[in-house]
Amino acid sequence: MYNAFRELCERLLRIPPEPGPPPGDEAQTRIFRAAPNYYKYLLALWAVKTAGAVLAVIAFEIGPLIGAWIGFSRGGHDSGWALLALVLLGFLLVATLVLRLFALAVVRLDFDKRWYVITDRSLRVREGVFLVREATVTFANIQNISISQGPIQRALGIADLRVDTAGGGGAAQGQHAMQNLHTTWFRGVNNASEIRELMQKRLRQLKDAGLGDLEELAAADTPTVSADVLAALREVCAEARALRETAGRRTNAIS
Amino acid sequence: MTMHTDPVTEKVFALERPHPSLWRYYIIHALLTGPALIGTLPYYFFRYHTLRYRFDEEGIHMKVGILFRKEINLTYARIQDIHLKSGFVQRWLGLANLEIQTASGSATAELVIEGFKEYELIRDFLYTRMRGYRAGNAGRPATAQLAGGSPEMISLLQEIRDELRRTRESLAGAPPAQPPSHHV
Repeated sequence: MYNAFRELCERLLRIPPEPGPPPGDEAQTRIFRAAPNYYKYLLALWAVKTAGAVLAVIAFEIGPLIGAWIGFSRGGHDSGWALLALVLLGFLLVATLVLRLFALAVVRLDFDKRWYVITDRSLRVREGVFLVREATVTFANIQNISISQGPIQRALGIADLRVDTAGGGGAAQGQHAMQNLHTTWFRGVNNASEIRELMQKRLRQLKDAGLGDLEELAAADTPTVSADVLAALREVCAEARALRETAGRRTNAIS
Repeated sequence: MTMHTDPVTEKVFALERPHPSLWRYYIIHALLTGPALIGTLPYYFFRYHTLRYRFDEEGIHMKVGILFRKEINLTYARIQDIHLKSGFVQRWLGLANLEIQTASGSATAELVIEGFKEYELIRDFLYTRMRGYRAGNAGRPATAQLAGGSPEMISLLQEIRDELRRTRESLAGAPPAQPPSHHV
């Protein structure tokens, strides 16, 4: 049932397949997915919303229902109107339930369509069903990485990892605070600290990370010479010394 | 301009006008605004017809507008994030928005590249030129190569050593040369 829905959505909404990693070192690329518990978390959120919607519909319908009840008890011409009201109210409730069921399927699809790709020098986060977003950020531009976890997320062992780049102070004024382009979310991962460590490890190799100076990179690049090269150099040095000494003795003998 | 022979760069440099699908997308977008169509459709019409992009060695340049003109210039090296966004109508038309971010204060994109079917190509092109790509690329392999020690370097050093050794041996073994100028 869900699979049929997913295939239909993939076709109708033209949801692109799994994102490819940005060009670079393929061997170091790692792809993370949202944890299965994130689906449970989304389900919990969905259940709360659905309960809210159903309660709202019922609260809205109580008045008209009582009216319809009175209409029935009066009988005659009024009961016809009461029946119409009942049908309308029933339709409203059913429509709400159908919409919530659709939302449930979308929740599942949204959970499925999440990819967090980390390469040797950048990350790519793909999310979304109707609006597909794919963010690409190089590690050199990352300002800070933070992990946040609410009580329900803690119980489920998942967390949200947030990556910030420079700028983006005006997030609150925007119509969608969620769509601040300077922050990238790894939502619902169960290995947030592992991802953080991986990113920090790769970040540490970049001396100009954040808004650091590019000059620092050149200064820190002290080349390390291998043991073979050093040994060969020492031999050359010894040979040169011996040559000088021999030459010195010869000139002494001549004079 | 014979510097870039790589086909991706040439393709991206050749881009200028958005694809006609963008106009179709704008029509759909305008229709969705309902009665406001009277205002939005002409706006989109002029936007579509005046929208120009230019990609060169340094950065992206965008020009748009007929009454109120806007021109955005952005250097590749200042690009922080690249976002690829597409609604399902755009995906049906084969389009997507590329939103380019720099470190400036706004939460929205500094520059939006819209209306190109080659969005993946443009994204990869920008990725290889954005801030942080080269630093990670150029810094590492160079040191790794040195640390490994190039075999050529070692053999060269050994050759020098042998050369020196032979010089010393010839100096030590041969009878002392009598420079003619010595007895004058």
